[in-house]
Amino acid sequence: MSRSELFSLLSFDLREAFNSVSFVVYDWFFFGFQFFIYGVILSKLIVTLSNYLFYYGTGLLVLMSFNVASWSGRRFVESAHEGRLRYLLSLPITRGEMFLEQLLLGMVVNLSRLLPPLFVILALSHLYTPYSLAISLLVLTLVTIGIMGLMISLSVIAFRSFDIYSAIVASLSALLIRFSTINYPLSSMPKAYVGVSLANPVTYGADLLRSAIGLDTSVVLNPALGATVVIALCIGTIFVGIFFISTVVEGVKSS
Amino acid sequence: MTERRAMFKVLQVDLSYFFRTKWLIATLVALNISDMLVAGLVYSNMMSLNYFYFFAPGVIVSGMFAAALDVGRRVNLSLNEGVAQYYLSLPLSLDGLAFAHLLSAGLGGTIYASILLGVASAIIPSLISPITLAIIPVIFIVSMGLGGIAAVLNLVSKAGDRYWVYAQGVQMVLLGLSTVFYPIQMISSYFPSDVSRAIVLNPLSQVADALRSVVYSIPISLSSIGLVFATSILMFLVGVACYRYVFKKVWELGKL
Repeated sequence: MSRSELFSLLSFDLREAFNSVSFVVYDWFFFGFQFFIYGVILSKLIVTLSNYLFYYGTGLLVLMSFNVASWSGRRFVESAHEGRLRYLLSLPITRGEMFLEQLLLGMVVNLSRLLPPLFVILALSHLYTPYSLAISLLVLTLVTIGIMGLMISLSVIAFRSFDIYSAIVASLSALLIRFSTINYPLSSMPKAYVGVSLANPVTYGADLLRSAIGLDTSVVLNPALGATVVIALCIGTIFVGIFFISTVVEGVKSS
Repeated sequence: MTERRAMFKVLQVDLSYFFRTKWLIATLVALNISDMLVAGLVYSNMMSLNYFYFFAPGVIVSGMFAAALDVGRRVNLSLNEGVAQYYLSLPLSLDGLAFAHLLSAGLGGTIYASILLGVASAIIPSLISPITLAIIPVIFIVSMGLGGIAAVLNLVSKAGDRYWVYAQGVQMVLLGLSTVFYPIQMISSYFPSDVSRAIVLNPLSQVADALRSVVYSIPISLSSIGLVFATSILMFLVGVACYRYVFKKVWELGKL
């Protein structure tokens, strides 16, 4: 009973998420523009990396995963403020299953947005193999789950103040993106930034994706270390998210 | 209430929304500064040019653009939530209402860019110059023109949620097709000459290049300033026409 309720809710949310195609199309447009215009011109300026365009392209994929994860967190917060969360809490599903449904929704949305850009990068870099596609998707999914778990966990703050939540998410996202290897390798960072970037799990996710795709691995971190950090992030944020959803969301007032 | 007073009230409400949460603005400014200090410095290490000095004016211009579009977002919310109908009940002509919104976009963009300019001046001393002060009115005119783009987006999106998508898309295209983030030499080698010419005419390119002239102590040509005024005023007039059409429709039909 609980499982069928879970999938009913998921299919309802998916219909709602894909009701407007403009956001999906925007994401593809975002990738196309950033990769073929911004990325190409910037790569002409970069002298320290020979294949910066593809380095940048894979960073864009992580950035898009990040955006989907932020969207999931914001959507959960909005459902609380609009009173929808009360309805969700009345459904015959556990809090953990509700959290799982949010994760599944984010994963499906993420795959729909990332699959075409990932295919473009693999095809243009001549690195496409079924294995590279499958392993890249797995890495992107793990990165998304990790960040999504973090964003949904942070939604607890929004139950107190939406403005504080927005500011914290904006600051945290900016810090995680800038102090990471999404756009530039560790070797190009000033020493003061390297330590911060190494403490940032997004760095490991971005470099793991580059290893999975098969890009030049001389400027990326060890993939075994990256895989360990990304899996730990996933498991950690899932447990934290389930804990918060189980204990805090009850009785949240809609605005 | 006279028309001018009503216009001032609309302008005041638009701006108070934008600067309502001071620490949120502080966060946004901090993010722009972190762009300069992190991305600018790291890319400098990867390029043969001092990208930090090149990038800082670009961050100021992109901040100005985001602030000017944010006022359009407020207009979008007012159309969705029915506040626009209250504005239409004020003793205010359609032109007056359109002008008030565009004026607040101009002021929002100018104030936000001035904050970034102030911080950038502390890092790049050559920005402390009377010419920088002379560029502020140019920023105001350009921001009003960019407010005109927000008006077009409000018209095209029919005041729906698509405004967000369109605004982000337009922001990305206009910033990407400008000299805000890369030098014109790189653009010329990539795009056909007509597109390169359009990129040079982009007011965002003009303001960024004017600020770079101050950074590198190069004289600014009067013709480029004239060009900024011409393109911005054109966008402003398009904005007035679009807002006029939007508010007329809301006035007559109750919705867009």
